[in-house]
Amino acid sequence: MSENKKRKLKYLFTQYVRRHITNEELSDLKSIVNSSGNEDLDKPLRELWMNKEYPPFLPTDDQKIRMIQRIEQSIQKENHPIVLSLHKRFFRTFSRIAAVFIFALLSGICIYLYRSNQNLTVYKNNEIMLNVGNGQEAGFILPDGTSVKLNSGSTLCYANNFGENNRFVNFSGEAFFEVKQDKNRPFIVSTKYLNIEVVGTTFNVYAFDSSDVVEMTLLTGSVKASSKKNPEYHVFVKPNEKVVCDISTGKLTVQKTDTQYETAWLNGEIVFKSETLSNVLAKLERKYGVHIRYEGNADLLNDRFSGRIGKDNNMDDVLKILTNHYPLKYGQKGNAFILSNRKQK
Amino acid sequence: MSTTGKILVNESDYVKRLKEGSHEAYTVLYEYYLPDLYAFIYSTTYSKDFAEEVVQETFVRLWENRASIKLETSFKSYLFTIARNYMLDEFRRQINHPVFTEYIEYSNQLQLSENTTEKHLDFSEFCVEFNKAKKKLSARQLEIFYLNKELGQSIHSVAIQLEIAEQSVRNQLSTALSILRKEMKNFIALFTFLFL
Repeated sequence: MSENKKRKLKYLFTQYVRRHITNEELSDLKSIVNSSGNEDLDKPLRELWMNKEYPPFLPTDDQKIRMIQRIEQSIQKENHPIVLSLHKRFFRTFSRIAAVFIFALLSGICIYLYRSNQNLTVYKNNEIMLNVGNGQEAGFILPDGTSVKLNSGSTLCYANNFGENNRFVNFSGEAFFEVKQDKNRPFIVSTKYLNIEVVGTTFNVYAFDSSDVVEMTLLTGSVKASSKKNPEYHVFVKPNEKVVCDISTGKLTVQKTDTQYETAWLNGEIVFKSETLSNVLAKLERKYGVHIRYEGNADLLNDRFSGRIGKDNNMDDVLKILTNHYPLKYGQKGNAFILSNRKQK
Repeated sequence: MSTTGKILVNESDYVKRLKEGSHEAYTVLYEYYLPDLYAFIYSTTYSKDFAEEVVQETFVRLWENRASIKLETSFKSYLFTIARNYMLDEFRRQINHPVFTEYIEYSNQLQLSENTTEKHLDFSEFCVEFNKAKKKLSARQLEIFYLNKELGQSIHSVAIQLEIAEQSVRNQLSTALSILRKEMKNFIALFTFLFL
């Protein structure tokens, strides 16, 4: 961005936050913003913040109290959950077995608490959190008999009164659910952008908090999916269909899909269907639990890649495929893989 | 300086203690920065709800990532870094919204006429009210309203598209407007300006 343009952008932002911007200036601002990345917008906005060049629209006392309460609530949750964290690949088998035992124990506690109401309140604020690190996959049975397979980098939380009135889980990542049928207590999967409500069914959810795609694919049964942002948007999904949530508008669309593709990860495969290279790399980092540093041409990151990686392929195989496909070469430095430009012959 | 005019003495001590996990230091820091951060986010996104959300999210993230705070860089600048991407997503959505241009024009006029900076409208509140009001319209009225007022197509081209007479487009539109006007009591001033 030229110095001139930078100065102009700063001026436009200043007018904008002061509510003094004219219509012509607004359309200038719009066209600069729409053609610039967040990095370009960083500096002028950071200056406004640092120098306090914005109007004092302070929160009311009510708003302030509300925000502080919510902050405290969220960090309380983070502080005291019972965490089952499966970290190192080295302990993979061991931790799986251990997890099953610990889990059986926790389930037992839940059932016990469920039966003896007296103790229930004591543990009421506790949450049980299942966390699967990168490079891992794990399967669990929830206290109601529902089976969940969690893909790498996924987290599932539920309160220990799970199953008391309803079956509610908070979820981020990718998982395959086989929900135990129970007409009286709907099973609800809450993700950052999408809520999924079911009675008894099998489905796959792809909803990483950091991802810009949120999807749910249904294999059997029927589910109701609603958008968090705008609960008015809800759709009923039938088998072999998937619902895709546009995270910016909260809009839901239903599409026909191939369930084999959606659940390939259950067999240890990764399938890319016209995905951007930056998405591909993020998936590989999760799947293999490695760090990939990209030093190649930035434009390539938006290039769309399709392909299937079998369960017997390791990280080297995958990088070979990618470096054959793109003008890139790869190397390794400590824990990280590095992809950089290959010199043209 | 905070909005109350006070300076946070020993800020770097609090930041250091936060990094070591002190909840007390954390509360001192959010008490101090929260009103300013809210004002900043609100002034860039024009949405009170969203400003609250970003402020919450920012301070929660601050706590979660307390261990990785870098003591040598400005703490205030670090808060901006956490908030930045949430804020920019919303900001981009906002300025590309179909009725945002009209909304800005109105806000400016309101400020000039009332001669006060306190009188500012929340864009998302406006949109919520407006969408509620639109529910009272019939499907046809809604379609005509959308094509003509929100997409800015002429009466003539709406009539051709829907294969009806221009006069009936006008009739439907005026019925739609009177229904909306009745529903939009709180925002009547803005509404009158936008669509009449």
